[in-house]
Amino acid sequence: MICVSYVEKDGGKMISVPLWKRNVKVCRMPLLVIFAVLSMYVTVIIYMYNPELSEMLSGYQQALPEMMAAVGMTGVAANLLEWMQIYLYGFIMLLFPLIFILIMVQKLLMGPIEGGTLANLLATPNSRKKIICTQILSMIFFTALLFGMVTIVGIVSCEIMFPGELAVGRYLMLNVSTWLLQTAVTGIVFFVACCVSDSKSYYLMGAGLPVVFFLIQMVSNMGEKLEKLKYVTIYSLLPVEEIIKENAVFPLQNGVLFLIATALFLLGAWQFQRRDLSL
Amino acid sequence: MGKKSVMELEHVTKDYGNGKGVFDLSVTVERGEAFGYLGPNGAGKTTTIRQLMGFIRPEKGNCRIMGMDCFKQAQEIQKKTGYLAGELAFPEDMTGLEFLKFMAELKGMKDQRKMRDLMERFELNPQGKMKKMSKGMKQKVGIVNAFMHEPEVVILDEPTSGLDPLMQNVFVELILEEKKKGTTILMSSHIFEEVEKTCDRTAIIRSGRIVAVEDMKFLAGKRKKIYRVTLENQEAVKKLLTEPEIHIWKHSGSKEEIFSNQAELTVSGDLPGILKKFADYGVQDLEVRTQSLEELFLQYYETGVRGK
Repeated sequence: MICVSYVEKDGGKMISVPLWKRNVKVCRMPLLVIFAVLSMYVTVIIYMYNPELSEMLSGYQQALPEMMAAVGMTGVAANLLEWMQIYLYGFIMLLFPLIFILIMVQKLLMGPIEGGTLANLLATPNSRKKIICTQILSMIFFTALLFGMVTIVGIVSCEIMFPGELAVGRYLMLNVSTWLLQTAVTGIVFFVACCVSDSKSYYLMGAGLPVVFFLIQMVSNMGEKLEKLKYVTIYSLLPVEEIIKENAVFPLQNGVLFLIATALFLLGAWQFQRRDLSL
Repeated sequence: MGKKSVMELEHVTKDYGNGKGVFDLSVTVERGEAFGYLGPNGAGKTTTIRQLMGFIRPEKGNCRIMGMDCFKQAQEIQKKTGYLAGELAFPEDMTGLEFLKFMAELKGMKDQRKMRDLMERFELNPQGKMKKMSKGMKQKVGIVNAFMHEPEVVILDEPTSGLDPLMQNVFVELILEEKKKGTTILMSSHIFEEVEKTCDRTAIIRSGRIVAVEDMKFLAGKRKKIYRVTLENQEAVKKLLTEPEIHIWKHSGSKEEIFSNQAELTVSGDLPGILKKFADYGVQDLEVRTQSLEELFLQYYETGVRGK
């Protein structure tokens, strides 16, 4: 996001093409694996969609209300999109991308800092700014690619199994919002990687913070009294209600997520450019 | 006149606490000079080099290469600089050749001839994965990487570690050639011979402080002759050592034990008189050698800091 302006100004000079290609090579495998896992879940959940099962599952919700609520599975699905939202976007589409993000930031930034391979990059006429911009754009691009591919799988599966039943526009909006949310999470992980020097602290905070946010989200889903907790977790910024029920075009939450992501990437890049790197 | 300083350190300090770090370093390296940077492990050689490379910022003082600030203008400096890290970290999934090509692209190199020449010279077979490469092989990759873009300034952190003696010679030849071309070289080491063979001047760093900067030719002239005398018994040795012209030679770096009826010593005064004295004490054997540079440096290590 921040780098886009540079790219335009300098005619592509603010990113390093060889480094970009290298990033693609490095992230290809984890991207494909997580994509495969998500595709499987998406198709299975779509396959399972039928109103009778929906009733049975709402039976579960009555029997184990807290359990089901914790993972966001509440309410009766009135249509295919709601069904997908309930069973995919409370847990699976939040957690698996997080795993991908952690691996990706480790490979693109934390690993090179800790292992010292960053020294090779810095010993070339590429500024720290250029290097970090390339990494930021790669990260944003790979998460976008992951969501883009999963979205296509979702649409295609729906059209094959339940032609015409999916509200495609709102489904796209849901995915864009989830991607924005995950980009903000990438921002958190990225910022941590820019500040620390070893994988231990990276995983402790980079993985720890999103996981704590996620747990808080689960708890706040469970009860009325605990609902206030939603103000301390980033995951409550996924505008599910607005998209599903109110047809919002660009919910306010997305703006907030965009700002959070931008701020974290900028702060991280700033920190990266001024820090000592013991390579 | 005519000489221009290429690397400048002015009162550079980086304190890591517990006496670790570097303190008040001031050194200049001139154009076309090969400059040695000697010191034991943990003396601050790598810390100095990291500051020259712009990886870390000095707390105090200035660090410049070709007149540019090493941290702020690192990218400009790197256009004309080659670097070999002390601890090589290469992406393990790449082969040697893939890595070198990747680096060539990052450096914006159009011509890969020098890269091939160097690979041939160091008999580097770059097909294998980095993960499976030995230390020496990686070192060769690192050396090729440091020189392949024909840099004007080269910074080498312990360049010969892991190389076999044959390759060490190839390396020394390369340095001498580069020197002839006018390349400015800074080379850290704890091996005295490679510095002796290649460098014009050498700084000695100890506990983060530069204790001496010496001209290598001058240093070579300062070497002493050391006599190893074998006498009949220990008493005779003790007595000999009380003579005014005779001084016992001792340094903590001496590796071999000598027998109790032997002594290593330096002498002052005229040689015929000394030899007569040895004869008077019933000399059984006499060896003479020239003090190695290593011993000369060890003198600095031991007394340099105390003397200041």
